[in-house]
Amino acid sequence: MGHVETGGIQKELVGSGQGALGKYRTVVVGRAGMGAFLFFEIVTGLLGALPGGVGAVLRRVAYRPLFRSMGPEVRISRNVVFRRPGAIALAAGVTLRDGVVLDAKAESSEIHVGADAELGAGTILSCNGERMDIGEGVSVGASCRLGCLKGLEVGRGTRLGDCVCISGAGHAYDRLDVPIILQSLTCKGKTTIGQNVRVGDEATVLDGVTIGDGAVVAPRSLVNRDVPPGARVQGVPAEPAADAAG
Amino acid sequence: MGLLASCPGAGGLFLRQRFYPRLFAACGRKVIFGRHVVIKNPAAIRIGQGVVLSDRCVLDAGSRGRISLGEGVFIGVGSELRAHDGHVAVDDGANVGSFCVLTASHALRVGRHVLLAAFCRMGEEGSGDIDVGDGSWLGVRVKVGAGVRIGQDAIVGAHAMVADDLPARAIAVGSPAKVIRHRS
Repeated sequence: MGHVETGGIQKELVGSGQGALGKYRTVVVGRAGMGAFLFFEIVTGLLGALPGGVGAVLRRVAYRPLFRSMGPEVRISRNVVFRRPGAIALAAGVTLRDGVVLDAKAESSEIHVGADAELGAGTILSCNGERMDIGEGVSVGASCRLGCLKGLEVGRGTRLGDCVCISGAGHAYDRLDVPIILQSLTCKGKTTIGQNVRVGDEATVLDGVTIGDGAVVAPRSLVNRDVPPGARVQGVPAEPAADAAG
Repeated sequence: MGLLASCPGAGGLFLRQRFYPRLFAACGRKVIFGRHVVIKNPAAIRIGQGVVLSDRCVLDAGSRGRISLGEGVFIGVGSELRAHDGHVAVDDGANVGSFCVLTASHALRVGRHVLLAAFCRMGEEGSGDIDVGDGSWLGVRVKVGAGVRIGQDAIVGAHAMVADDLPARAIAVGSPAKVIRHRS
């Protein structure tokens, strides 16, 4: 069978270089030693799917050494996935619902989740570079996908609905002789969402956008440029809402 | 398959890579099966070498459908391929993002090296073949209607709804999607 050039994620996972186990180890614990890797595998393997309050309490205790830091009263539900937890900080009272994925992919990646923040079931935080900062009291709905290449900040008290996408990066497409998937990622800069912002269900925020404090993004909107503080926007692309107070 | 589906860690990946392939019509080497992958009617599913099936994705070939995944295909977390009576084909090197839903009542082909961003939906309503040309890029939450053919190397902007064919190398945005320029 011929060799097929693969881009992006495939290259990291399946490309030649380290053996399969070495590659897996790099993905889940980064540069940590074999001891740390085995501890990670055993603890998450045994406890990751345990149901109910018992599972949550055991994870709260046993997972702590894996992380950069973990505050008290952190609630980790079943089947939560961590990659490179040494680069992830969970503040006091954080709640991670079933199947949440926190992936600090690149060596420069860090994920910080602020006090009392909550991530809904199945939500994915995928940090491909720099720092992803989820503020205090932030509520993120279910099945969201938050990505970042040059940083993401979600301000205190902000609420993201279900199935929200913070794309974090785009793709170069200037070459026609190479498929887009094999060209480089692009990023206009850090994505900044202010404090007490409301982002509706199924909305998308593109890379480099700044959304000011208190702004409201209607469901299913596509935000591709900055939103001033207090503004209400809707649509594709998002424009100020017709009934905005100003 | 039930017990293996939830096996955690490197051990789970190893066991599924070792034991799942025999269930399928054909399955290449070095396939990564994530946890909680849902597979229905595997005898009607072909999987190429080096395919990655992320956690919780769904390959549902129904009772009369077929699914074919080429070499090096990546299916993102939570995505669903549902071939009700039709054939879902994802060709070599294509990358299907997280939370996508691809439904085929006839033929649905995602071409070679196509990039589907998160939340894309195809074929959910109506009937008619869908073809996404090789090398295309569909942005976040793009919806492709039944009967649509998208040309090679096209780009569709995020949140667009594609109701009509798009020519090769077109760049299209909006609902319904309109060509705004061509790549050059």
